[in-house]
Amino acid sequence: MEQNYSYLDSSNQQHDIVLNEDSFKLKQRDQVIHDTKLSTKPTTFIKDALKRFAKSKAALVSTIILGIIVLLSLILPAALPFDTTGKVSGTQYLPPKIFSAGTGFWDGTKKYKDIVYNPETELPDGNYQVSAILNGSLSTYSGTIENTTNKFAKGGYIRIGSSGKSEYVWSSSTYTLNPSDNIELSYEIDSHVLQQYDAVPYYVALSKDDQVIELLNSSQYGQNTIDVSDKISNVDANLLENCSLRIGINAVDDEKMIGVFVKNFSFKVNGSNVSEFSFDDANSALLNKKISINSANLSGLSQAEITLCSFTYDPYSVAYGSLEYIYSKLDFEKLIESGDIEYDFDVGISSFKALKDTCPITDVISQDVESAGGITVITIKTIVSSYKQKGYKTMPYHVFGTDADGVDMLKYVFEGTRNSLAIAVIISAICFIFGLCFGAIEGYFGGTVDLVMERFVEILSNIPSIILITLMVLKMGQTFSVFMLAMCMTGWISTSGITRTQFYRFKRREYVLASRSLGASDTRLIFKHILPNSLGTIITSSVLMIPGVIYSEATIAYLGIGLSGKASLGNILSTNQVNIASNQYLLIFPAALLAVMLICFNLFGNGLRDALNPSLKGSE
Amino acid sequence: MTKYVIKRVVLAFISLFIILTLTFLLMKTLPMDIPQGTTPEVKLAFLKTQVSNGYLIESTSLITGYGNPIASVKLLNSSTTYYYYNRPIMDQYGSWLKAIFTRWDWGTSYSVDVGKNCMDIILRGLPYTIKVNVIAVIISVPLGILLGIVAALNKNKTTDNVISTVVMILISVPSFVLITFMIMIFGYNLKWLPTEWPKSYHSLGQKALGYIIPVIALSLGAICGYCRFTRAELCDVLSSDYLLLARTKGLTKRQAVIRHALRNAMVPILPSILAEIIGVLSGSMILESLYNIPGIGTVFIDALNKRDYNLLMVDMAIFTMIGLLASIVLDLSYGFLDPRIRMGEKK
Repeated sequence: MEQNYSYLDSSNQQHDIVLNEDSFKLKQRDQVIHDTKLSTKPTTFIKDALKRFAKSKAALVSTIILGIIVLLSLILPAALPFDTTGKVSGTQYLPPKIFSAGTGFWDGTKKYKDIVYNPETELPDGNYQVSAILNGSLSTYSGTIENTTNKFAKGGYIRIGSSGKSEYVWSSSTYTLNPSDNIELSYEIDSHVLQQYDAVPYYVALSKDDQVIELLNSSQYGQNTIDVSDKISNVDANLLENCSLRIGINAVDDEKMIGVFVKNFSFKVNGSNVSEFSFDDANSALLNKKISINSANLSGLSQAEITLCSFTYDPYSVAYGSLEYIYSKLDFEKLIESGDIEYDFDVGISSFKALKDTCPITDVISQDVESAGGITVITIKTIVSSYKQKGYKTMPYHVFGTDADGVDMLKYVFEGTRNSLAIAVIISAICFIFGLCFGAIEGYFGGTVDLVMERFVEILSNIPSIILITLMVLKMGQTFSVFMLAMCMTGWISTSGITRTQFYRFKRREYVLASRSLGASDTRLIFKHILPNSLGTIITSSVLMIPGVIYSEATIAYLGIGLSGKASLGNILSTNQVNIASNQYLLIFPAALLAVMLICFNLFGNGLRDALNPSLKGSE
Repeated sequence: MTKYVIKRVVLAFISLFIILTLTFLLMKTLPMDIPQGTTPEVKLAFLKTQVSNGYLIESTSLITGYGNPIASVKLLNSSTTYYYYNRPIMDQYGSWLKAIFTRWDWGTSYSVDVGKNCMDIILRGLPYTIKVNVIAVIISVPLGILLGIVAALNKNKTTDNVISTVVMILISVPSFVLITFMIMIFGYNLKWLPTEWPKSYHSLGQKALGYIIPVIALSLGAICGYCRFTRAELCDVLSSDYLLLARTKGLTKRQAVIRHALRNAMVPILPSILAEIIGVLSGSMILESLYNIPGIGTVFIDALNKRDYNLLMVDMAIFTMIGLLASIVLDLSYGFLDPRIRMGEKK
């Protein structure tokens, strides 16, 4: 049987197709047809999620940073040799140090500014060690000081200042005047020496006991010379006997900062200065208590001239450097016995030789003999290296500085991080498991059980968690277990809510019905069928619980009812809040670490959510 | 709707009542301190009011059956000693309810400001809290929504990525860390702004400057919250079918966004703003105490540190009330804005 087919191509040429029996052949007659094996590897849900997670750069980076923080918080507290359990003497407030002193950045030095300069010793006035002042960093300049008087200062004003109330300064000694005396006041008074004070009228008066005789009441500023003889001409002579001088301001209605500034005050009686009432140097008048002030108010010295200096100070050399130390003969003999040093008491200081590297003594200055009451005591004055005495092999560097107790902050902060993380993980785990069980029971059984349990949740969630925690801590004491319990009180509610909805969603599904009709128990249905299906959603919405707990822990620490006696980030931050003005590094490091940790946790959580549940991507 | 509103309000009152009762009973089981460091006259005056308000029993001799006296007062020029005992807790509870309902008397402070009415102390602090927080809301709501809209309209472009990243970072950093850094940088190091809340005698300019740090610290978080919320809602609406329909029938993108997308996106955003406005009354305790703002948060921390339970109780009541009010407003406004939603209603 043969049939002819033909067709026309695009150029209108006819082609014939010849088909015969041989054209048709069975291709797979002898072959067995199987499904071909997939050429790619099969993937699981977790693997797929991990792949998606690895694609998100932010999540990956934050995971790495988190990993480093966790690792550091495990390693550092164990690796660093410092003591963080109590006070360490001599190492208070050492600044952060990585590089050696003098490099200018993170080098453990403090810059002091506006320190009073002592021209006699040519050094800063105060408790500063000469050896710790970095070479060439001391520079002097003239400046002014406020409030406190100083023996190196001169001039300045006496400020009569107040927060809106009446205020005066008075002469400490008294003077006897006659009604017929001729009195002339000459002084310089200014109003805006310091910007923050508003100008007010001022008065000058004589006072005796409670009586005040006003000599002058004016609001004229600048240099003044006024004859006020007429003010006392009618006054009883008794009142003028042993009276004192008063310069003051009167109260204004609103609570503003008011003040006037007086200098070069001279009180002339019949042409000659009364030294009791006159002053030209405000600093010395206040220093010598010639003029008295009520220091509780805003009165005091203002703008006194003084030489100030600035310098860079290395507290490390004070805390860990060399210092003189006096040994008794007995202690020294012990050191000789233990083989640390070689010394011969008969030969003296030239026989000293340090034998071991760990020996703190670097040099012997003198060997002194004191005899008192027939007993001779031999003491040896030495120079010791302080860090060796404290048991360190090399000069220690505190990378994050030290706090008020002299505790190394690097170790302490990472101990705190470790504790905060541990607490957060434990509390999150407890809350998660409890919330899961609670929500599962609510969702699975429904009906009355659900209704009753939901009302309980409603009341609990209506109480602000801060209040709940406060009440529990007050009632049950500030201990670790109470703290944990209090933190768990409301944390589980969100998990239980999501679990409940998920259970409502899945419990009517056909596969659950099928399993039930085969005789599966409630427990089996919950744990084998419904829970595995809803777990993804529940986990993703619970990931952010850990940073939440860290945040609440810090909040509670700020309230002062947090973990007592344990290092945690919140505790470190709240106890160091007082150092915000002077030693900011104590706050910068823990605060930055907390912030970085919380940012990373949130990015990590979001990445995890997107990876486990891609349909939620982008929604917050 | 009316029935629903009434039901919600009544339920809220019942919750409030239960919470306050529990708080009161718990507080009363704590050991109450008697004013310390005050003169015997002040102490006596405080105890006398407590007696007349029905919390304590006064006696000139020791009574058995009431435990140890919580205080004994002997004035200098008299020979009699007065002993004071706690009344049974349920008696005190009755007196407390009576005082609130008849005289609006919430109790007397006994260590923060001895002898002063607790409600007065709270009311003294409330204006500061409200001022700072209301300014923060006024700044954060428009700014947050605007940023959210900008981010949503430029979804997955550079603008959106920058906004989302900054929002992500700022929302993760606790406000107390923010304010700490702000005080450090702008207060102590640059000296541009005051380092704490200006005192009453400071000039008007100083007082105005004093708002900047707490308001910014408070609003940054809120701005980020609104921005994220608005972006998510708007993105949702922008990809919806009815917006596609609006575009296909010829509306420009601007028209479609303003007339259709924004209005619909606002349905969930608006209630959360309303709730936030009420929620701000509770302020941020830690922010207040870090910046020394004399608001109710500081009062709370003060009362906590000095163990002034009466004052603490009122502060807690205020916080609880505000929280309940915010949740009611949130739920009800959902219903008003979108009648399809009835929060908390049974199926």
